[in-house]
Amino acid sequence: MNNLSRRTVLKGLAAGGIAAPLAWPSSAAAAAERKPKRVVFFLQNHGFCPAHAHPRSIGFSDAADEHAEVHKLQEKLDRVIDEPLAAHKLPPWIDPLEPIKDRVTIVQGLNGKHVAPYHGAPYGALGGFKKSSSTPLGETIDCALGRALPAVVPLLAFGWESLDKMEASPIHYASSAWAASMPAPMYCSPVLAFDNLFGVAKEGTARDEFDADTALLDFVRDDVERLNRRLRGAEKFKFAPYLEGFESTSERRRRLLAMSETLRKNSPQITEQFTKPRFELDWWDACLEVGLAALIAGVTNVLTVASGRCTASGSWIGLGLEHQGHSIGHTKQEEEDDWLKLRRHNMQMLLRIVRALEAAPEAGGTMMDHTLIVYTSCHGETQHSTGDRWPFLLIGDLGGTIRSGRYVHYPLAPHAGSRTINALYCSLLHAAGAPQDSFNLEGRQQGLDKSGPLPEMLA
Amino acid sequence: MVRLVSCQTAFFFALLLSLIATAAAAGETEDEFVAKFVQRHCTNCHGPEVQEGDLRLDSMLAEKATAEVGHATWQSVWRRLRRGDMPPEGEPRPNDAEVDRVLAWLGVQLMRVARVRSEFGDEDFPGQGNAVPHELLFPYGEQTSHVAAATASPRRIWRLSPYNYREQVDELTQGFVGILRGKIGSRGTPVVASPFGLTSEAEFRDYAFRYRVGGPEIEQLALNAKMTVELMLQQRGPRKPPRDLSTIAESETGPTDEQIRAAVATMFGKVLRREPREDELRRYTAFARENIERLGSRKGLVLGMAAVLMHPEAVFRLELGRGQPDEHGRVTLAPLELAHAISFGLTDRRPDDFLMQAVRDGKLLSRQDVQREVLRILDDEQIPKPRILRFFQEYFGYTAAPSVFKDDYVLRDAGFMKYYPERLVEDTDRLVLHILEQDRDVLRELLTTELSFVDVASVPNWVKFANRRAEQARAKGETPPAHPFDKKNKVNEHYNFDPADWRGEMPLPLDPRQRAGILTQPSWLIAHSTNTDNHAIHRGKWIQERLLGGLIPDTPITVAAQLPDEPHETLRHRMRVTREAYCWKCHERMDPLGLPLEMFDHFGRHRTEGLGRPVDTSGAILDSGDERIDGPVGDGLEMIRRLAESPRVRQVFVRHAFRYWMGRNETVADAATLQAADRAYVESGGGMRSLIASLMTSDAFLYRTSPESDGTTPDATAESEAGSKP
Repeated sequence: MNNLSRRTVLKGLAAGGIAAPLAWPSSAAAAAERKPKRVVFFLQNHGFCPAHAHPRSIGFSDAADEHAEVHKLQEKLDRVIDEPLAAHKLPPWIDPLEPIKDRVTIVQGLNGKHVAPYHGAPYGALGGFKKSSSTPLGETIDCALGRALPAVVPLLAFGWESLDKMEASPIHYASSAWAASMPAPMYCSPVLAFDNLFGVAKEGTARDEFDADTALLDFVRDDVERLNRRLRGAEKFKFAPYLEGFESTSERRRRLLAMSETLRKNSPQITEQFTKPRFELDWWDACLEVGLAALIAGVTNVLTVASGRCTASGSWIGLGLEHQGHSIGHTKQEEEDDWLKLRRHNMQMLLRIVRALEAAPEAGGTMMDHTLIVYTSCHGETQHSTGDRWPFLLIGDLGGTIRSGRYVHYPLAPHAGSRTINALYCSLLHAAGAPQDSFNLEGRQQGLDKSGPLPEMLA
Repeated sequence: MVRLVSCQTAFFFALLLSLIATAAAAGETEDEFVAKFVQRHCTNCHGPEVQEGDLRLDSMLAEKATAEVGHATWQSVWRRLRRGDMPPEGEPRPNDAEVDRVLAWLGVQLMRVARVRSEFGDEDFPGQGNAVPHELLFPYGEQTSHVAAATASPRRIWRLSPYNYREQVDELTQGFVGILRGKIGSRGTPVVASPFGLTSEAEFRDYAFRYRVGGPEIEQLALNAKMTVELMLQQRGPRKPPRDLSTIAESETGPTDEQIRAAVATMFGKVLRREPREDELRRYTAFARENIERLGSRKGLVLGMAAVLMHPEAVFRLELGRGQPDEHGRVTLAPLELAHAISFGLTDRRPDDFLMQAVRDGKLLSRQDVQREVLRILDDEQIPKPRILRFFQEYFGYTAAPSVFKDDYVLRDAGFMKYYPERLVEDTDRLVLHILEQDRDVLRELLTTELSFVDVASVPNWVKFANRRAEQARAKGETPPAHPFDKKNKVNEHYNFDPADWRGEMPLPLDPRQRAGILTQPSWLIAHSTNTDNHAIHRGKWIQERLLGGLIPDTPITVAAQLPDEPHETLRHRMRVTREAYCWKCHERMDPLGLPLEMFDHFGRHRTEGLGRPVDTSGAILDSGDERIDGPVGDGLEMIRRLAESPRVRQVFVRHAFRYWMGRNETVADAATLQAADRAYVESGGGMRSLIASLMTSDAFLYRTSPESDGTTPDATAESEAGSKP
């Protein structure tokens, strides 16, 4: 069953109230046929102000020189701006990307009002459907790409928050979902992520523990299957992820075991950042270490980082911001110094991903040649956003499938030519080699946008 | 447009009754009548040519309301027709008698097909519980029931709640891990965090159908399981590790098979509250033996025992039932399942020794047995029953107060140097517990009491230091502090409580011209406010849904629900935008109920002025379903006191209690259970004890749909497993 039809089937079933248990696509055969491709999503909460990604020299009109005016100018725009980024200087918030500008595409003006991103859009930001703090309404783009670019771990997601919250819930749910009502977990503890992904590569006792855990999971499966036989109908459906979880966990462990040599080579070092974090930044760094190592080792092809876990809180003690938690969202992003620090810190993290992947050779080039990084906010443009002008940064060209070095601005709805964030996600699926007509524009969302990808995005 | 309940209610119910009596014989003519009605009033928009809202009524009518999907749709048709939303304005209107006749016919169809659904959809979420029309559940108002439907809950598994999980680990480790009490200890302490979460939505959080367990949780469960057994072994002093386990852990020569078998049996008893079956004993013993040989006594034991904590029964509650189905196709819960259902219904723990003894003695079989145990637990003050307080927390939603962010400048403008919403929540918790202690007219008291706790958290400290402070003050020649409320924190100001009125006791009476019950508690008012203002719409929605049993649809995705940003205008004025015809259809059911509470600010303080102008606190109860309380109201207190007298409000409260204790929404088939619960509540003088006991001895609690009734048969081993020995 190909990805498209599988997805359609799942959706159809979910709509009727029954859904089949998910099974990951078997990656071995599929991966052999495909060129390597990987996608990284980086979400920062509290919004991504359009002015932060608008070079002052790009004018919608002659007067486009003040950041404060960007908002008004956006509303007047009635055509698509699509011009090279090379001649323009990046604004200070994102200027750490200046050296790699030729690989950056800025996308502005996409409509995501239907997501209702005010105060954050759990699941909705990556799904292009109405947000929900508890129950995703459908599949998110990172999960869709996880199916399209299969690996041992189809999606590796991290959720960043204050240290106490990360410790309290080492596993959390907010950014991603495999299907309606099927949220995908994210790691908040880098230690847990490390143990689960690289434990097999450890020496001696650590390895014994890995084996013992595998034996434990295999043993319990018998009891799980026994109970499964007693269940019927909806209960069987509810139980399915549990049953499937044992299978996929064991299977994943076997496959990790098979690649333990690669894992050992690429394993991050467990430092005090992991074991004795001083503040949240230590754990964020550690998570990114694990995430990068997993990408480079080929454990996963899709990485999602949700800084702030799609809520309207958060903590940045290590960055020395004056505003903590919710209150930073109440400041003006164009004026507040904290925002300069936070955004630039984000950019440094993106650069770190780029540099790490550039250092990893692949298919006559580097891994970065086959990678795309998508940076945006799970809040849309501000904390109290309407989502009518949702900015994105794309870095990399995903093996020559995405146009890079561009500034593209779509006119806002209801101007003719306006497009949704769903169309961008649809474009990503095209670029990843899993084209479909549209992304989450069925049913009630039909009519929000025309079908098809954004032609300006695709090479 | 709202069709006020001017229709001849008595006539309607008489008609309904006669239809029920004669449905079979007279069906044809009523069918024809309804078909004609639909043809005349509905099919232009919901017919073969056009299907607005994806709804085609003529073809649905041909199939009657038999399909599960159709069932939900017909309930919606029933509500909209009764409310007069349909046919829409501008279309020819049917007369009331015609509408009543169609409603009665639909009511019969719904009752006929009412059964517990076996699949899950949007309508299963707690927020949709009111989708079942109230009049079909309480058709005679206060009168007795005619509904003899046999109900049952679905045969189901129910993932442990985070509370259950925490208590399970806590019980095993005897509170050894600080983390289990909620707060993270100092870094480096072992962490056994629950991998399970609950929704953070303001609704009943633990519905049976709702939560699943997947791969990542399984990995964390495995980690936790090992850590839990390790902690069991590390217990020292008065908390000794179970002897069966420590013998093996300390064994240098390697344990005997008999010792391992004993350890497995101990773990089964502690975790699953039952003996292992012979095959389980064999398998678990072999697994432990294997690991002991590989990893040594201690590590091998940890892994072997961790397996019991990974058993599906340690992760899910089973409610599968056993035995032969009765004439309605239902089976009863197995005694061990029943013991769990009772215990998890009232506490967060697995069954206690008394319940387990009853299971072993064969004394947990009948309804009377269940009642005896439920009352025993309810009446035993030594048994913590956090589930009961949690019901009120989730029903009223006041615990959300701390999650409503108030920015520094907002606090400053409001005159608060410090702000402690958690303390306000604690005050309301204490008030609920106080009213539960009296157990008289619980709902009415909750809605109307003048009593309140005011910064109760500060009192113990004050008492503790009062003498010393008094001494210090006297030494300085100052007057000793006369009350526990300090000038800085000003928690008492949320209540407009003057410290001079402090008489050293709590709860204390507040000004009855300012306060009446939970809806006027600062915690509730803040929980239903925004960052900078009151949230009259949410407050109205809460009253409409939780007290009146109405159902407000989600905001359409095409609507950007924003009030104009006019900081110098009153909320009432800014809400003028909701009066646009398209919005008002729903907002007229919320706004007039929320606006009377404008007599409070968004910190819960009573006020007579806002923005330098007198506050307009007028509003109305419209088309509530209880004509006696409908009409304009002058302020929030008048509205609340009127609501508190309504039998409908009481019944809606009972419906919510049903949802919470059954872990699912009610269906038409649950009418008898609901009416019995309401009766028990009324007859006991408004006692929660009686209400809970009635619900927990109801058919909906005791019975499960049998596997045969959904067209499948269980395998033979499964049935024998239901009889596992406790």
